[in-house]
Amino acid sequence: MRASVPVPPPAARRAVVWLGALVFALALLLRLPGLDSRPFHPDEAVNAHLLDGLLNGEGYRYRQHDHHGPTLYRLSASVLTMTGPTRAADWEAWMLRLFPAVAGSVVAAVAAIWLAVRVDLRSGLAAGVLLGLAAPYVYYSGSFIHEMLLIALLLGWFACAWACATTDSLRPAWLGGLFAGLMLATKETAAPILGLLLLAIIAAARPPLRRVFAALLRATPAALLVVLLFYSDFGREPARALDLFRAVGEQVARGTGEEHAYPFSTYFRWFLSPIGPGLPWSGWLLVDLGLFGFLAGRREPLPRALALGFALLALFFSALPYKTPWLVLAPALPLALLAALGAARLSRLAPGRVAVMAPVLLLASLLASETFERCVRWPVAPDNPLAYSPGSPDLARLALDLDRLAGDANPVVQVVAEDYWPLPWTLRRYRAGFWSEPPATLQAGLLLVSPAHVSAVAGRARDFAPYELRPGLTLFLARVP
Amino acid sequence: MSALRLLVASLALVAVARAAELVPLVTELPKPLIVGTPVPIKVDNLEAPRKGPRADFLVPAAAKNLALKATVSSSDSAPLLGDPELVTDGDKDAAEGCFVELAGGTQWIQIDLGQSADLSAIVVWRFHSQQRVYLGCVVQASDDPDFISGVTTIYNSDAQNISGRGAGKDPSYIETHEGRVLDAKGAKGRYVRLYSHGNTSNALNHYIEVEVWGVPRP
Repeated sequence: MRASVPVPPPAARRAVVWLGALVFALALLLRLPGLDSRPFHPDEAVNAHLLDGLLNGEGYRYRQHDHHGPTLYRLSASVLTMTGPTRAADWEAWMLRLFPAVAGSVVAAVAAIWLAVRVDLRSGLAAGVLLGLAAPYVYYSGSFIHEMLLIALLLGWFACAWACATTDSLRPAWLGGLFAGLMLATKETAAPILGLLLLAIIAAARPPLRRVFAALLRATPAALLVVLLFYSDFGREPARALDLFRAVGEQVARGTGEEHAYPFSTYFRWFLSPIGPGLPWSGWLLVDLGLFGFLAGRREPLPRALALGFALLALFFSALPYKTPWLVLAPALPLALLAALGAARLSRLAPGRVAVMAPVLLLASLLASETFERCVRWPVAPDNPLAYSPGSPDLARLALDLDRLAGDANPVVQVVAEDYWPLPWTLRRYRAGFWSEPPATLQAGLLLVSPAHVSAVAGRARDFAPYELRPGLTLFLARVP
Repeated sequence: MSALRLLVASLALVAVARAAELVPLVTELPKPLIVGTPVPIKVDNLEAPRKGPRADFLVPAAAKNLALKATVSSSDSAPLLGDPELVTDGDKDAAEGCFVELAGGTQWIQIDLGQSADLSAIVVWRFHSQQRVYLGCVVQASDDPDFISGVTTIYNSDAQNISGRGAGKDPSYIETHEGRVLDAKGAKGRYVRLYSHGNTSNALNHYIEVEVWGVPRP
């Protein structure tokens, strides 16, 4: 007879609820102040542009090479429709970044609650501290990209899958299928993440094979239904329902191609080498505490599943040539949970309240020092490993100068360049047009032109001044009389 | 009947007036093209972007571009595109046919000014139809055509010494149509040699134009 889903006694339940609420509130409090300060990333600008299209009659269409699934846009569109601002011109950066900030806070709170219920309060507290404060989780909680939503859904799926594998109940399988479907409708990397973590859970918990099939039989239709609904734009474009599956070939080619291709050791260099601002305490502490958590609990199924899950995901994403720093959040999730188990076990080595609080405070202060340096003080420094092709601080100067030159005239802004992101976000309040080659005629107004095309428009515009959009991408602002 | 005619005539007049009214033409502007995550240009010691127009660079009144139509040689005896002469032909266009493309790895071009000169500035256009940074860049002047003795280094951003001319601390920079003005600080020499070791987009080396501003020595 297998165990049932653990239900803590009422007093412990109250403590768990308080812990979750506290972790969520503190994590959100930590994420809110920076939401408006960091320059918009090109990917955020693309997502904002697609969201604007969705809210203003263009619907959603999956572009398999350029971006990801629809959940982020659907969720944001629903909330923005309810709260009011539905045009990009009315948005501020914080309005969009609030979605990943809430998702990041949910990750920390749910992880704390889940470990507090599954293991003990100390493990839950450690998970809340690690996931609430670690620099990569704080940094990408402030980016309007798909990653933090994916991680929140992953945590939900993992909890359901673990419950199915270790208890008598198969009811969580339906919910797990829902989470898996939402993950697949968020980002394509969900497929290998789900597959590898499922393998780790089965290998560590060793549920009977019949039980695995029974759970999959419940979860798969739920996941498929969610995928088909989201990709068909809730039935409006039935021909597109299978787009995710049609994209497999292109996604594999992209992942193994030369785009963003870096060596195997890149993630270890980005997250463990002392490069850039601050010291990588999150990387060091997660690895050290995770190792301790595994060694101390290697005979127990949960530490084994988390360790194996981390190892498989780390190997997969390191072997995949395509690398971006936010992809590390998926392997870091089981590692953070394992590290929380390690931290809790470590705190039990010495008795007394001080022995619990002192390591927690030390852990929090070390993580906070890295988070402050990388997320607050130097968020787009060229050597900050979390900042990958970030928007330049020069965009703020460009926005001010555009407003000054435009005055009350609301001129047309013509952009002539092969690459101009995140400029569409900066120009969201202007009537702007985008050309990759100089147009035959230029309208009177303002012009932003790449160095390659300056000579072609030099006779038709004046007062050229350079602005950096991203490291390595400069455009010239000019007036067209 | 006449009242009806008057009404019809009035309506016709309103229609004509409406047709003659001028309104601004509003055309649909091209929307931005969706792209994926941009690949970053990550180069150590990359120069920060300039704020505002480039400041004037002052040279002696007698200085002139001594490199115009001067003889050019290169380490690559068979360039992939163009000829070394393009480097001093006065054409700074970025189009194919206006630049010389040398093979990958460390390559150099050398300009023979015809006689020794006091050099004030060297202006370099490597490539500007795409934003990129050239790596291992070194610019030197000398009266020795083999650059063994009497060599003055004018610019060196080769922090790793990949071009083999010693490590330098000058910042790397992103190529633009404006070209790069290098302060020669009165260096003396008949020959100017420019080294590079590929760029952030590919392993190849390019030169559109090089100007060498100075005063010939008596």
